[in-house]
Amino acid sequence: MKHIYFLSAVTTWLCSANLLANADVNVAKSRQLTPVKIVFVEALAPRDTTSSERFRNDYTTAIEVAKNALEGRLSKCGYTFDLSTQFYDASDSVQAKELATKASKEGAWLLIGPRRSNHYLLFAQGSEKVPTVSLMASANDVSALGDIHLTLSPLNSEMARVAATEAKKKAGKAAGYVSIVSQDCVSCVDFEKNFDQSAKAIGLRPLGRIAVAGENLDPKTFVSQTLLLKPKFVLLPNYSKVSSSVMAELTKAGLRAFYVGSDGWGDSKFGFVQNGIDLVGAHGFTVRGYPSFEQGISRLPIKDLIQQNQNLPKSGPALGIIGALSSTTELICRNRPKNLSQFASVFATKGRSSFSARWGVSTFNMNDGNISFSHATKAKAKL
Amino acid sequence: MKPVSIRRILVRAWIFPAILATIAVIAATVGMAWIEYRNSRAHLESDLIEKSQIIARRLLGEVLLKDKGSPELVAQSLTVDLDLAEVFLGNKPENCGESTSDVVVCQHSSNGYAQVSRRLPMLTNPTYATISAKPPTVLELLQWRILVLSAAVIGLLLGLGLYFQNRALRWMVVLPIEDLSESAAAQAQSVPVHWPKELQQLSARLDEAFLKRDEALMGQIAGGVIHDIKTFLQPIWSASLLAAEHPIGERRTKRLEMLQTATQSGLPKILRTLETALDSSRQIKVELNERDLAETIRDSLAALQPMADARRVEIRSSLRTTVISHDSVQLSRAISNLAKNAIEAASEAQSPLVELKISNNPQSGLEIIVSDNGQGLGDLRDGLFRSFRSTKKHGTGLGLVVSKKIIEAHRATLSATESESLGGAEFRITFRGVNS
Repeated sequence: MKHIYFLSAVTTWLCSANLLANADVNVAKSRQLTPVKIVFVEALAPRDTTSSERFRNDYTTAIEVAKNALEGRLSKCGYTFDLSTQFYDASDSVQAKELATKASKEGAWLLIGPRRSNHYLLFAQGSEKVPTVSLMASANDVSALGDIHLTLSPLNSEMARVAATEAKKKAGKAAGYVSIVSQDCVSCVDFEKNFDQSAKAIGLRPLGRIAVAGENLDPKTFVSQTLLLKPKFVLLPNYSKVSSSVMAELTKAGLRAFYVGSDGWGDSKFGFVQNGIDLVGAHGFTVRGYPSFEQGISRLPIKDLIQQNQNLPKSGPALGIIGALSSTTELICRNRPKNLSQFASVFATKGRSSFSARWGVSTFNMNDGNISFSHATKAKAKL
Repeated sequence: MKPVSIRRILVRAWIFPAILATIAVIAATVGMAWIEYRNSRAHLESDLIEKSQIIARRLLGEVLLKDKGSPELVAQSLTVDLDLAEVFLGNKPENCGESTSDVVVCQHSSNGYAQVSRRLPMLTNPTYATISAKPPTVLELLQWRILVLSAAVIGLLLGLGLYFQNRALRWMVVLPIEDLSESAAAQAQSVPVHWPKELQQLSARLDEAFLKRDEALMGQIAGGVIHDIKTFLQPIWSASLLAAEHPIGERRTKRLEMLQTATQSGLPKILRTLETALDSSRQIKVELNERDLAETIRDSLAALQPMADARRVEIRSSLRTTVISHDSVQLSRAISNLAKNAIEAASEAQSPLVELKISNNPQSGLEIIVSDNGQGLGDLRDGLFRSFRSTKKHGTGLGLVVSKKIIEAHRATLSATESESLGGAEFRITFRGVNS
């Protein structure tokens, strides 16, 4: 009898061990996470190497912080992040398309693309099937790219409306203005067109329009003409280098007017307007899709996780990165796509609600080259 | 011929090498520019090939944006930013050939510019970005800075060289020669060891020459003076012999009277001759008093009038009252000597004439001019005031030397030229800085 009990005990032990071992394997099998390959692609201006290096560091740090904050949530859903970053020369916009094509071929589920509208338009051309999101592209043409190409920024139509309203508050009824616009910037031309429409609707008067191109402007092409027109304000919806050089020349020439910009001016951390030495005496405001960092982070669901991180860079793109990854995490966890095709399908149908201009349009004042947050306006136009 | 300073001689000596150096620098700079010009086209085309890649991609970005892009504007701004003559988009120009490669260097563009055409990638329809740039000219390649710098260096070297050479010459040549000339009157002195070898040898030769000259001087003085004294002593000796021959009586009295006359006539002349010889070898001291110069000259002329009359020489004078500080005795000697020489020279002319006048020259000062219509100075002009140069058969040649010494003691100068008015000789005593 004793040997029967012994044999039973051994058998029981063996069966239990086998069950336990299988259970471990099953658990291991059920915990295999699906990698979500996301590629970040962004342009760096090589001429301004110090600022570019700071931007690069902030950008990659923001990605790292967001990933660390969201990894836990994502893994509970059965996924894991597979993130990579590609930077390219901002003067060669074709690289945006080439990198998008390459990332698409390498199995990326989502491409988070360049901030500049003309770069993003090319970027989307290179990614026909993979969803893309831009952190800041605001040209109205972005909305016509299709359901799998979205932007976190309000469109120029909305931003221009807010800018026109603000300009009227400062300049008064029927104030006249001059536009100086970079013709080789898609978003700049688009913003100006929208601003003119909004401005006319509220009684502001366009006095003249001066077209410029390139970054090295000859003051003779715009200074005397602008002074002659005597505007109350000057619309400069251009990138920061062009905008700051125009403001510097006009201020030096003694123009008594304020300046209105779009989101190309940069912010208090990056760009040629902030701390521009030649901008003492220049005043105005700019509009963009991101508020101050503190305000922006407060509206994110993962704010508690994020705010504790000492390394978190406090800039608009950082907000965008965190917002984009947060929205991606939610989209995936709610819909559980198994592959790129399913993800793309979910993105096309439900992406707009996740990737939208959650922060509205923010107005930033500019005084003597210093940019500071003023207030935010809810976006009216639907994405 | 006007004397030329050492400095000017040096400048002239250095100018030629400086001009050669400047020509060499200009030739070298132009040569370098020419070589660079020959190579510039190839460099330019290579540069354009590099730029065309950037431009093609930049324009491609605009083309891909279709109606949202601004390729023409971007092409214009790139033209300025990259310092090109032209950038345009379109078909490959005909002068770029039939080559199918992506980038082509175009030959023989219409304006002579370097031109490169590159096909835009990614596009199915062949579209080319063609860029051109103006090749530099030789003048543009000329290194003006090198040229100016070289000219500055040459100028600096020239200046420094002239300066230091001038100083070296002055220290090593001019000052020693001045020392030499000062020591010429003294006995031979030991030569400083720092003098150049040539100057030391010159000093030795000069000592030898001065020694010989001293000997010759003594010889000539002796010869001239002794001869004159003999001439004046001869009648006295003859008269004394005659006087001693006859016994006391009327004839002897007459002979004694002849001796007295000969003595009275001859002794002063002997004394004067001795005095002149003495004056030629020593410094003449003058006692200056404010007196009328015209009176001094008249006194001199009065003593010479018998001589002039004997030779039928007319003396014309234009003298106005001119009070200056002078030694009337000594100056009278000098003027007498000049006037006597003039009378002797003029006596050979058909209508002998001697002129004396006092004139006021605004540039040089008060002048006494003695001129004659004799033969003129001729060969005697050089070295006229040197000792022992005389036209007279029995002259000591010391008269003009002593006259010059007397005049120089009055801080005046004595010069001799040909007389333009009378055709003979003209002697001019100039009191510089003195006006009547």
